[in-house]
Amino acid sequence: MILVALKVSKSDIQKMFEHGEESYPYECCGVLIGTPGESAVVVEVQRLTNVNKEMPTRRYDVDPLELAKADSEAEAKGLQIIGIYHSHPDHPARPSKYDLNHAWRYLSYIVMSIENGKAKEITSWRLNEKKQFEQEELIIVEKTTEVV
Amino acid sequence: MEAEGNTIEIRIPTPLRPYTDGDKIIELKANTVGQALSILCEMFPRLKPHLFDDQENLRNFVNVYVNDNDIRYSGGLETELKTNDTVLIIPSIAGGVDINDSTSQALAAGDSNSATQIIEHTTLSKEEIERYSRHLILPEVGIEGQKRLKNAKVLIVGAGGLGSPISMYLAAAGVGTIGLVDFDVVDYTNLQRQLLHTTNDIGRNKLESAKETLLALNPHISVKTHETVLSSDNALQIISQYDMVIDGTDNFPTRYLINDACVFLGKPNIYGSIFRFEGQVTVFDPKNGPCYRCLYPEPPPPGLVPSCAEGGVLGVLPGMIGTIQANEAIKLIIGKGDALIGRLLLLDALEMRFRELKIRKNPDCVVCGKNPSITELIDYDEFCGVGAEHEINLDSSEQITVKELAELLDSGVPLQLVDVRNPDETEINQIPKHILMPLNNLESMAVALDKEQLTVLYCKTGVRSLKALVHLKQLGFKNVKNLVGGVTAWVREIDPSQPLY
Repeated sequence: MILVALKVSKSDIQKMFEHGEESYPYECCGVLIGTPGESAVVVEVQRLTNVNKEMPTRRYDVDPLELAKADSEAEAKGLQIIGIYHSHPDHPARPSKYDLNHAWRYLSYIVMSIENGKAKEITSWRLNEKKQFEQEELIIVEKTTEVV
Repeated sequence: MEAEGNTIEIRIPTPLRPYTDGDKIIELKANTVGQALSILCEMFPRLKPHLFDDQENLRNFVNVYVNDNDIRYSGGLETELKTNDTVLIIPSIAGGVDINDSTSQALAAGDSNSATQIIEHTTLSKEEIERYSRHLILPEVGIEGQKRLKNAKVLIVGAGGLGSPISMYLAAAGVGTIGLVDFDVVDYTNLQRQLLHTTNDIGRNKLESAKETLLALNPHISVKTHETVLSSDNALQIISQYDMVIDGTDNFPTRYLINDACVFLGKPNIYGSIFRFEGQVTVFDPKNGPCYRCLYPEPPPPGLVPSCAEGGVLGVLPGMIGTIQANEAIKLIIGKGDALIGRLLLLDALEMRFRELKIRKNPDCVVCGKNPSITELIDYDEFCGVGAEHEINLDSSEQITVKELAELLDSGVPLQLVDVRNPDETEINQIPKHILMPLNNLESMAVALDKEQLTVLYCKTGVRSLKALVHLKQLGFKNVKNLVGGVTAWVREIDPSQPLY
């Protein structure tokens, strides 16, 4: 059941795919900046560093200070962090148990599968009140900036 | 707020704002971070379960910073606050794919449940059951142990003397993924002990030859090759793909590198070393015992400990030490027996005697101690002084090439040519008209030399003779030169009729 939706521009999808492909075989991660709500809108995507050193092919960790900086920069533009994107190298674009255990409510989680270095699939998810992931509709548009 | 304290602000991150009625910045008075957070939770009770667990401990998934400093390193909740400090609450954002084809997590976490789940997913084929039947009937191994072996990922650094028995026995035992790091080519002098390679492999890439041997032994395993010099740039990435590392290296910089990387990644490092007739083995497991630096905080001065190429090694010795390393790896994987942790096993193959030394974790160890000063990989060549010895060699007038020496000898210019190797080495190959003065006896024998005359020193490759040069200069010799590349270069370029060693 799809309750919520996330609007993303074609070029931002392209940017996330490029990030995922460049980082392959490691996982990449970044933030979705925009306006929140049941129908949230991504105004821009911003790359973050995957600081996981143990297993960067299967894990990502965000540097807390880099995240805080992205948060205050978004705020200065009148926007906020509305979600996180990350890649699954050679694994499906579905949130893992590990993703679930580390997820926060009220954020959208975009997951991309990168197979053999090529972006394959992209999906987006949010936690419901029972702390389960529900897939949300990813509405891909030409441009999102006018909406704001 | 009536509470006494300094006025500070707390910044609330987006995902927690629904619990603070949308407020981004909360101003309040408090003296410590703990106080500030508990006042915050009184103001917004729905926030509390997101910050603290039932025991009132700060949740792992929440980072708290005071003006860009992580409170984990400044006293935790006791961290004091000054007026105008900013407390940042930052959600920890992490994720990744599920790991269901590796035992590393289970081993690392000591979580028997997840280990069991992993094992249940693994199956052994009919051929594998037959192949491993002598393992399977051992109650200590059994089907479960064999599945653990199949799931295990072991990295062996060095496909040489130690790497041969380690990798061959682990392949035969059914260790599912064997990684090998090496960058060398098979050389004639390797064959006396490196059983991975045969006479037909001379000149071949060692990893290619090793992979062929291992897969011929056991086609059910996978062999991953890393043809590179293990360095501070790649060590964490390579080692992180494995459950444990077996050190089969022959040099100090790589030993310290493997040790530090294993400490940072929390992986066991099965250490072995060999020299002439003596060997050492132990398991460095940073979680349960000492590390290499607890045992050897500082590397020996460069050149003090000769390598096997210089000092020689009994061919069987790496076989004996390497099989003990393989045995320890298998025990760690199946989780049986007493691991060689905190015990350094010494072998003297001439006396045929084993001794065991207890080694303890050093609480002041710079990498695994309580307050480590080294928290990331460093420049290990610099740390071990490698390259420093060449600094002595800056003056080109103190060097001579084999071609220049050949011309000098032909021209009949008077010169003293001194071989500083041991007599046994001189029997293998030598340069005509040399005087034999082994390095250890050089100081007493040097009285026989003329300090004013041109003196050329050589050894096997030019390392020992460089030390001899420094000695002679201290004794007042005016005109001493070191033969670059030693007798090895002489044989290669001037007289290929002689053997190399």
